[in-house]
This record gives sequence, structure tokens and C-alpha cells, in this order.
Amino acid sequence: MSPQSTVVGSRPQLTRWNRWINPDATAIRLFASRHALLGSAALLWLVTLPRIDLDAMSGLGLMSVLPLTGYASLVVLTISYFVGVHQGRSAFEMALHLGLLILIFHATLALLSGTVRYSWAWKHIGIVDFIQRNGIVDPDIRVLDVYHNWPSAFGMAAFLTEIAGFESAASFAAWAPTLFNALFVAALVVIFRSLTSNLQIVWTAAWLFLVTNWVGQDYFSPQAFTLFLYLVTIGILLRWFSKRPPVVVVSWAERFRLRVLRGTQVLRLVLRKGRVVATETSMISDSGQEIPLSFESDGKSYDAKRRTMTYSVWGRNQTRLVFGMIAVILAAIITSHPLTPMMLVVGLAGLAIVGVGSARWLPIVAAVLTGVWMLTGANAFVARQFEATVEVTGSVTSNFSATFVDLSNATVSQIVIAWMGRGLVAAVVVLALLGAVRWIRRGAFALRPLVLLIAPVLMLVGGSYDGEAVFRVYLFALPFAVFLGAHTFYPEQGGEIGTRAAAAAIGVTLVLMTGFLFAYFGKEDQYTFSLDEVRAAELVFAGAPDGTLLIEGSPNYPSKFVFYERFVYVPITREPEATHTRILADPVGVMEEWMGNLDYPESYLIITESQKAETDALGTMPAGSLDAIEAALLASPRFQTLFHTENATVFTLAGREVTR
Amino acid sequence: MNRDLVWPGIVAASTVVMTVVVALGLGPPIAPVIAVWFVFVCPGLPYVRLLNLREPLNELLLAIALSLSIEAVVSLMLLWRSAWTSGRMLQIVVAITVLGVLLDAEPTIWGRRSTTSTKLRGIDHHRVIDLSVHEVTSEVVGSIRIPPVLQASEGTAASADSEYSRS
Repeated sequence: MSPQSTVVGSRPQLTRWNRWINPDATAIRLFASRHALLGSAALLWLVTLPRIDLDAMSGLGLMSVLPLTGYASLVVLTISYFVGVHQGRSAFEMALHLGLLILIFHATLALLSGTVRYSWAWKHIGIVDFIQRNGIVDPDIRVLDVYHNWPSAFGMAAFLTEIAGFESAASFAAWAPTLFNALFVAALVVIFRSLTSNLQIVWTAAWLFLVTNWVGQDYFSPQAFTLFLYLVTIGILLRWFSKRPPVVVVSWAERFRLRVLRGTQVLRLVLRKGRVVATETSMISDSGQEIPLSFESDGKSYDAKRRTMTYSVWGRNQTRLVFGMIAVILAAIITSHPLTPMMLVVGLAGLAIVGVGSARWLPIVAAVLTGVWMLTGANAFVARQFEATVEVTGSVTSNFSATFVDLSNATVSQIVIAWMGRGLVAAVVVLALLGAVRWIRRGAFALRPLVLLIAPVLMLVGGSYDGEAVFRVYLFALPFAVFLGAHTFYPEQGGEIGTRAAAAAIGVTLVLMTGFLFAYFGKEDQYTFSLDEVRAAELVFAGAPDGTLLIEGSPNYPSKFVFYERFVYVPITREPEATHTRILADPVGVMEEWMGNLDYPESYLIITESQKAETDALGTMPAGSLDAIEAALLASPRFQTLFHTENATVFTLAGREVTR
Repeated sequence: MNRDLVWPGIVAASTVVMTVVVALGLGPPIAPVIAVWFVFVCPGLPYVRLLNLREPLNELLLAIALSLSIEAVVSLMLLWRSAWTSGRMLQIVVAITVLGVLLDAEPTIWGRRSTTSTKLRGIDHHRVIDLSVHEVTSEVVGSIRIPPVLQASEGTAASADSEYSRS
């Protein structure tokens, strides 16, 4: 009996079309039952979208306006995902879940706000704009000079902007978090599959990454771009230059056959001394017949359908080609971002030490290339920063503490959000330790994920990186921390797993997700900008003459995204406390004095809702300070408004000419 | 159409379409769709295909990483020479893409042996053994049944090559 006839069995023979349109047809019932939870989660999200009122956000950000259906969507999706993990569903189904989670987390705001979130993303758009207009970079520029010294990613983005027919990268930058998270997860699946044969661990770790990656380095930025390249580089080395045998690969054709046959997929592992030396996939059909599908061991694979066996040993030329590709990727990383190459060198060195065969010379090459770039292309920046870098090098404690926001003046909601983030870091560390202990207790352990987890910590020796060191360490260590953490629920060697593992994974994930929602979206009232704010900023930035004075309530608004080099920036919140006192005592007098300075050809003052939200939340000035300044200037005949709505106001000095 | 020419054909066609779109100065909604596909996939895919990975997800991921890296490095070189324009950059990226397509398609067009891309692929090291003449039986080793032919698979390079040629 052929496999197909076994499957159809006593059921009436249906045409392919009838199978899909007949309500009794197996395909629909099968589809409905398998995808009911996933479909419900998607439906709940779609119902939620129009009910989110971003204008009503309070100090808890998106959490304050997310309807119950939004939370329900995430709960249902999580349950559906781990049911899928437990049942060993196909990669396509698991990818659908991951895709929906990424959409819920990262496309929601892009769809609703219609603007690019996070003020730093706007500054990056400004560098792209600079390249589009000038065709050069200026390493000695006064403002945002670091980007002119590591410009590759911006040049690439400028290329995409131009050939896509856009005027500005702002047209697509809102979708960067969605895209980057999808790329991160795809690269992580490759890495995890290289580290384990157990797909339950792979999928669990991928989900854990998404619900714990709260540090927000996924926006339109060179660090997100280079993180993706970093993960791909590590993936290449682990996948194709590791001494360990490759894991099983089930082709799309085989997956289709599995669907048609509707049986149970079986994955067997051959263990010798606790190490996987071979894998075999087969399928148990409805009648209990076992059909071998593929076999793989030490690079040899057996295809039962084609009755062929294939194995590949990479030749010298092929190895050269892949290292050529790695060299191009390294060059892109090294010239795009100052910090990622450091992580890469340390990570590659770690892999070389634990014996990822052909990669031993790679850390040296990466280190040399990094050094060459710092002494040539980035020497202007490096020379300026050298003294400051030397001062903090080795001060692990101060570099660690420099990361944390001063919460002494922050609002209660900001303190809650900050502690949610810190709690999430602690939870990930605990989960990783638990997973590592369980892995060791089961009699096996792999050094590679541990090395890649620990390597980023060395970065703390190098500097505080403007207070971002701990966040970067967390970001680069996270993939391997969640990989270890997944071992808390599922053993490396697979085998029979009770439903308790899936239940525990769901429970823990939902707790982590709660922390993520606070930590990632808790500041959304500061990070999400209204169209009014964008329009006000466009009015200020477009066409101003060189040397224009721009006084900002704070730098937190859509700023520096076009003609940014023409301005002298004075953020009020960055002024010393004595100046704050003086401004609050006499806003009209001080602003008139500043904006009347004829050294600047034109002068503007911009105050927006996001600036107010940030200033009040962090306590950088007394609560309501920017409101008070705005009210005083609105009431004064000495000032005119170039733009004024409830979300943004642009002031000019009465009697001073402006070009718009 | 020969299956080996499908992807080189798609990449070549995408390159032509991208060039035409830029030449005509088209904008949204057509240009962004084509530009994203071209920028993210086309320059790197032909080179990744030379590796003959047989793993679609990994090939796509590597193609995206390589494509973006190629464009980043090209833009750096142009910025370094103060010569960055999107048109000049497109010319260089198209040239890199076309070279990759030619290398990828070369064995199919000109024959498999003694061609540059065949050497690049390390194709001599891929051995496909036709088992249709063997009876696939099983024996238990540990917890798994291994087709016995695996133990007999380590042929000489010469025999493997001849078997490859037959397949």
C-alpha cells in the first residue's frame, strides 16, 4: 500500500479542490483545529488595533491604553506557540507564530502613529539625509560626529532611500523594528539549530529572545544593522565550521509530504557518549506504518524518496569563498558601528578557543581590521575620544553604574518601568543559570553558548559608552542566555516530555512578557511622536540658513532629520541647574536674550508634548517646567508662534526676520 | 527552463527591472517594492548559491547579510572618495550582481567541468550516490536504524565523481 492510499483510507476520495471547500473535508478541519488559537490571536490583535488611542497615553506608555483584547491576544498566541512546540509542529507554523508576535510588538505602533518612534531614529535619518545631499561625510563635523566616522550603514540606507524613490528615510524607518526583529530571529534560529538538535529548545529560545529583548536597539540604527550581521557571522561559523555534526534538515518537499500524509513526525537522535552523532526523521502514518524520510550523520544525508545519499565536504575553494563573504560582512560591521566590532572580536576569540575549527585566525583578522579602521577612517573621532576612553578603561564598576538612569527625581511610573527592565535582566540571568544547571545535571554541556554568553561582559572593561555599556552587554549576551534558559524546560537530548514543561514555559514566558511590555513600551508617551510634532520640526529644519540657533525644550522630539548640520542646538534640559532656575524665574526675559543674539542669523524655540513627557518623567527639570515656559511665551507679545497646536509650538522672536 | 537557471534568471531580471525603475525615476508604490527586493537579496544571492548549501533559510539569510554588506562597503568606498551618488552606487552594485549571476549560471550554460564557478563551488567535493540499485534495509545501532549503505559510502574521489556524473 502506498503512503497516500494509507492516509486516505476509508474516507471518500475527494478532489484537491473539494478537500478545501467541503466543510467536512479533512484539510479544513485539520487546519482549523491546528490554527484556531493562532487565528484567534491574530483576530484579537486586529480587533485591538483601532481601539488603541495613542493620544491618551500616560506615564506607563502603551500599557496605559492597551485594551484587554491586546493582552488576550498575547496570552492566546503564547499558549498556541508552546502547544506547537510541545507537539513538534512544522517550522512554517512556528515561524507564523513568531511573525505574528513580531507584528504585535513592533508593527502596532508603526501602523497607528504613522511616524517614526524614538528621537535617535530621526537623528540617524538626518545622517542619511546629509549623505543624500552632499555625497560625502564630514568626520570633523561638530554634531553627531561619530556617525560620520562609521558611515557604511548610512551610505547603504541612503542608497535604498534614493532608488526606492523616497525623499527621506523617514518614509520607511518606522518599519525598522519589525524588519530587524524578523532578521534577528531568523539568524538566531540558524544559530540555535547549530547548537542543538532539539527543535523544542530552538523555538523556545527564539520566543524567549523576543519577550526579553527590551533594550530597544532594534530601531533604524547602525547598531541594529550590525547586530544582524554579527548574528549571521556567528551563525556561519557555528553552522559550517563547527566540529560537531550538522543537525537534521528536513526539506520543504518533505514537509509538504508530511502534511499530505498527516502522520506524526518522528525525530530520532543517535547518541554516543551523550553526543548526537546522527539524526533520522521518519513519519508514522495513520495506519501506524513508519516511513523513513531522511537521515543525516556527519554531513551525509539520505533521501528515501529519491533513494539518494548526499554528503558534502567543503573544499578549499568553497571555504575560501565563505571566508571571503565573512570578510565583506566584517568590513561592513567594522565601518558601520564602533562597538559591535569589539563584541565580534571577543566572540570570535571565544569560539576559536573552544575549537570552532577554521575560525582560529578570524578574531585576529577582525581585530586588525578594526584597528586599521580606527586609525584611518575613524581617526578624527578616535583622537578626540582617546583621552576620555583611556580614563574609563578598566573601571568596570563605574562603567556599570554609568548605565543606570538617575531615578531620584523620576516619577513613580518611571521608577516602576526602570525596575521592570532591571527585573527582566535578573530573570534572564536566573533562567540561564537554571538551564545550565539542568543541562549539566543531565550529563552534557556545550562550551560554545557559554563562551558567547560571557564574552560580551568583557566590554564593561572598555568604557561606559555614554551609559549604554550594560545594555549592549545584555543585548549581545541575550541570545545565548535564552538558549541556556530554554534548557530549563526541555532537555538537550529530547525524548518524552510531559505537558508540565509546556505549561511551565507558558507561565514563565507570560511573566517575562509582562516585564517586557513595561520595560519596552513603558516610555511610549515619550518615544512616540504625533504628526504635529513632525510638522513643527519640518517647519524649523527645512531651509534654515547655516548657523541658525535652535533652542529645544529637550532633545526628545523628531529632530536633526534634515539639514541638521546648519543648526546650533541648545536643549534647555541640558543646561545647568542655575540656568534652569533663571529661566523659570523669567522665561520671557531669558529667551528674549538668547534668541535676540545677532551672532545667529535666525533663532527658533521648539517645545513639544514628547519633550514635556520626558522632562517630567525623568525629573530633569521640575514637573511642568516646559509647560510654564510655553505658557509664558504664548502670553508675551515679544514672541510669535510659527506653529502652534496642543502637541507642538515653534516660537520666533517678534521683529526678527525668518526665512519662512 | 533548466532549474539551475531559475535563480540566476530571477536575479538578472530583478537587476534589469531595478535599473529601468531608476532610469524612469519611478517612485512609490512600485519602486520601493522592487528596491527592497533588489537591495536585500540580489547582490548576495548568486554568490551564496555558489556554496551549494541546500538549506533555503540559511541561503536567504546569508544572501541578505551579504547583499547589505556589499552595499555598505561600496557606499563606504564612494564616501571615502567623496564620490557617493545613488546612480554611481547602483552601477557598481549592478556590476557585482551581474558578475555573481554569470558565475552562478556558468556551469549550466557552458558545461559543468573545468569552469571557474565549478571550482568555486568545490563541486568535486559533493558526492551524490544513487541508491536505486541498492536495497535499503536497516539495522539497529543504539536507538536508531541506519541504512547500511552509509557504512559503505566512503568511496574514492574517482568513483564518487563518476557516480556524481551519472546522477
